[in-house]
Order: sequence, then C-alpha cells, then structure tokens
Amino acid sequence: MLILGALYFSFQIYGDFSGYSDIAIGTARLFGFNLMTNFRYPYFSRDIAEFWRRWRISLSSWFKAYVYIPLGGSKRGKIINIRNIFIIFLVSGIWHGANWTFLFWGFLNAIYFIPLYILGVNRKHVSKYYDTHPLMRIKDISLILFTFCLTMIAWIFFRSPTITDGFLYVGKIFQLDFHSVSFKYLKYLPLVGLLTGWKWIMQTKPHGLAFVKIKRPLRWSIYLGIIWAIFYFFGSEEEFIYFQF
Amino acid sequence: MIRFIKHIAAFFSILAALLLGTYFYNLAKKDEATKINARVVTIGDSHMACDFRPQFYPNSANVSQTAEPLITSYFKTKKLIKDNPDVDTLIIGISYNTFSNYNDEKFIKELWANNQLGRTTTLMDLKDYGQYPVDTNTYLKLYFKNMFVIPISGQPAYIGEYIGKGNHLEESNLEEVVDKHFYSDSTLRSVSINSLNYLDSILKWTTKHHVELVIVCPPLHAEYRETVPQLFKITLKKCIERYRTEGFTILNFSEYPMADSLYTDHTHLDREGAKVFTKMLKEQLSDF
Repeated sequence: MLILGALYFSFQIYGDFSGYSDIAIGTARLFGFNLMTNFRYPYFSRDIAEFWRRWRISLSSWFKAYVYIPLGGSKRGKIINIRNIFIIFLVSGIWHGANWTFLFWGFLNAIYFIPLYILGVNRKHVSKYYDTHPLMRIKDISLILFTFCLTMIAWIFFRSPTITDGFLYVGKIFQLDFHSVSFKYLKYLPLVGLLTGWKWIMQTKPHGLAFVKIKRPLRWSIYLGIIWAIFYFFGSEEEFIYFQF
Repeated sequence: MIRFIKHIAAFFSILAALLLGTYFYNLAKKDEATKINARVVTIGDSHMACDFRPQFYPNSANVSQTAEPLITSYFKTKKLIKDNPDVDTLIIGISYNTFSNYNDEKFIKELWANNQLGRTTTLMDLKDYGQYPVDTNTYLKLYFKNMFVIPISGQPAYIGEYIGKGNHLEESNLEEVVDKHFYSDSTLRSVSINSLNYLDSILKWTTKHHVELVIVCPPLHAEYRETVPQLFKITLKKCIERYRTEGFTILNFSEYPMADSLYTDHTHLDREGAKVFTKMLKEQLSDF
C-alpha cells in the first residue's frame, strides 16, 4: 500500500508539473512564442544525472547558469565541484520551500548524484536513444527501474510533513506488508501503466501528443478521447502542486 | 489563418455534437423506470447501508447510501415507489445524527458536496434542493459531467447497496464521529428542521401511496450513545413518540445490547452484526 502511495505520488507530481508546463508551452505557442521543453520523459532516465537533465529543464538550466557556474562549475577540481553539486541540490531543495523535508530531498539527490560524478559516469547517458541490442535493452530497462525507485524514495521525503515521517514511511515500505493492499487503490494502476506505455512509445518525440503525421480522423479521435477523459475524471477542485513553488 | 479557424470550428462542432448527443440520450434515459426486484425496500444513510443484509430478508433490497440526507431519501422514495408498484413496505433508518443540522450542509460543504451532488444530479433538479444550500459551481460541473459526458447505464448513482465490513471497532475514532455528527467548531449543532420536514414528507408520501412505512433505529454502541448530546436524544425520542401515536410502525434498536464483536465501528455493525440485526428485524416485522 505504501509503495502504491509513493508510486502514485511520483506520477501525480510528474503529471502536475509536466502538465502545467505543457499548458504554458501550448498557450505561449498560440501567441507565437516557442518555450523550451521542460520535461523530457524524465522517468525513463538510466541514472540520476540523466534524470536531472530531463526533469524541470528550465529550472535546472537556471540553477546551472546562475548558481553552479558562478560557483566555479566543474573547472576547479573534484573537491570544489562536489561541494558545488551539494550546494546546487540543497538550493534546489530550499527553492521548493523552507522545510527540512525539501532540504533533505535535495541532499538525497546529491547523494545519488555524487558517486556518478566521482566515477566519471555522470554523462554516460546523454543520448536519448536506448541501445537496440535486446540484452542491452534489458540493461537499460533495469537501470530505468532502479533510477525510478531512487527518485520515488526521494519524493517520499519531498511529500512528507517531516523528515521523521519520511523515514517512518520508507522503513515501513521495507516491511513488505502485502496484506494491506486494497483493490480500490489498485484500480488506478492501469492508468499509470497506460501513461507509462504511451510515454514510452512517444519518447523520441518532443512531447506526448506530437503525432502530426497521423491521419486527421485518428488524431482528432485521440484529441476527443483526451477531452472526454478530462471531463470524466474531473471532480472536486484540486490546486496544482506547482502553485506552491 | 482561415484554414486554422475552419479546423478549430470543425473539431469543436464534433465535440459539441457528441456532448449534445449524450445529453439527449441521458435526458430520455434518466426518466426511465428504476426497477427494483423486491417488495421490501430499505432506505437511509450508512447505518442502514451497513446494518441491513438483504440476503437474510426475503424479497428485500437495500438502496441506502452513506451520508444520505433525508431530502435525498424523499426523492428516492418518490421515484422508487412510482417505478415499482410491487413495493409494499419501506423501511427507513433514522438515528440521533439524522436530525443534526450537519445534514443541511451535505450539498455545500466540500467534505460531502461532490459525492452527494454526484449521486443526485439525475434525480433532482436544482430547484428541488429547496432550503438546502447548494454549491452551485459543483452542481453545474457534476450536472455537465453526468448529463453531457457520461451516458447513463446500469443502476442510477442514487441507488445504494449493502456495505459489508469487518470488525474494526478498536480502530474506530469515537471523538471524531461525535464531533462530525453533533458539533461544529466545538459548538453544539442545532436540530435540522429540513430533516424533520423531509421525514414527514416521506411518511405522507408512503401513506398516500399505500406503502407500509417502518421506521427503524439501528443499534448503536453504548460508548457512542453516552456521548450523544441531550438535544438529539430528546429530538429522536419525541419523533418516535409522535409517529407511534400516528400509528406508524417504529422499531427502536438504538439501545439494543449488541456485543462489541458485532460492530465495525461505534455506529455501524459488521457483517455478522448486520446478519443478526436483519434476522431480528425480520422476526419483529413478522409479528406486525
């Protein structure tokens, strides 16, 4: 049950942030402005460094340009650079709110990132295409799942009211009590599967609805289906999580 | 530019046609008879939904729903009796909380409005809510969703069913329940005149249509009863006395000593408790 909660929150925050960005990008496009892509299928990243190149790109670019580079970037030796990495992740955490949970979330991401930097593999997965060899694909998928689990654990702290709650939550996950799973919570899993499958198919495209070459009747049917789903699923008003930041 | 506008217009025309098509389909569908294959129907809120197991009462159906206010029960009664001439007995469950004015907030407070209005948009028009304050924004959104987006199929949303639960009495938060039922910001709530009026309307309607009405007060845990404010104890007592004088059948089990093992929480019975209660009800009613 707790794993489901963490999984759903990971998708909620992605849907919320990425959806909100897409609305902004689409609205700007109507007025002739081209905004940068903000989320590039981040949950298909093969390591945490790749995740941060794909997650909330506009904010990461800003931090890189205005915090990381003025601190010396990667030009001043490994020790200073490790310090800079810590600073940028901690600042990124604090940017989300003055709460220890956000700070710990940033710290955890730094802890995930630094081993990659020390081993010199933080830019190993720069290409957005995966290996086509079947065995290498299995390796890629395993790495994607592992990276997703790491981000999911970090999200638990991001969402928790206190760090203690976060640790309690993570601790209870590892007790693996499968008896508490209720069907009513499992019913959303197909939606998560559908979204993941769709994103997997579309991952070489700039965004999830970039299917201009599909014939109009099919394309319009998909659009109508999406509009119908929006009407179908709307309930009580929920504010964007994004609004807090 | 003109080509773009033409495409947008064509796309939204298709969308409008689909929505309107669903609307007209639902308009015809919502007035269709809601058939219930039973002679005895139980109605009420979660007390009846959890406490009455139709499988132990021949020819019966339980259409109760959690948190249902009496205004909804009234419109349900009207519709079901009209659509099912075979129904000869209506069992309605009432309790202390039935008369608390928190029931008047069921269509306006965020805690309930979405759920309650979602069930009733195809049963009641906006004007039917009368004295009850309604979150119009939520109502209109749900009306749009239920009438223009989702084609009506299967059981209408206002038809409930028996809810079987296990024994979780130890986890039940008595303070929270009492607070929700009888207090608002630590202040004692008043009696809901609307609830009294709609109970009266249900009685009148059933009498007029020659349906026998049985008022039932389901069992409540002693710890809960002890915390019920005097105002609501008196209201229920007066109500029972009044309707008994008028000749209605009233079965008051609210103080019936049921074992802890038969409760799912302080105000609802578990599966076993519901079985015992339903059999008890059957026995009692066969005496009348």
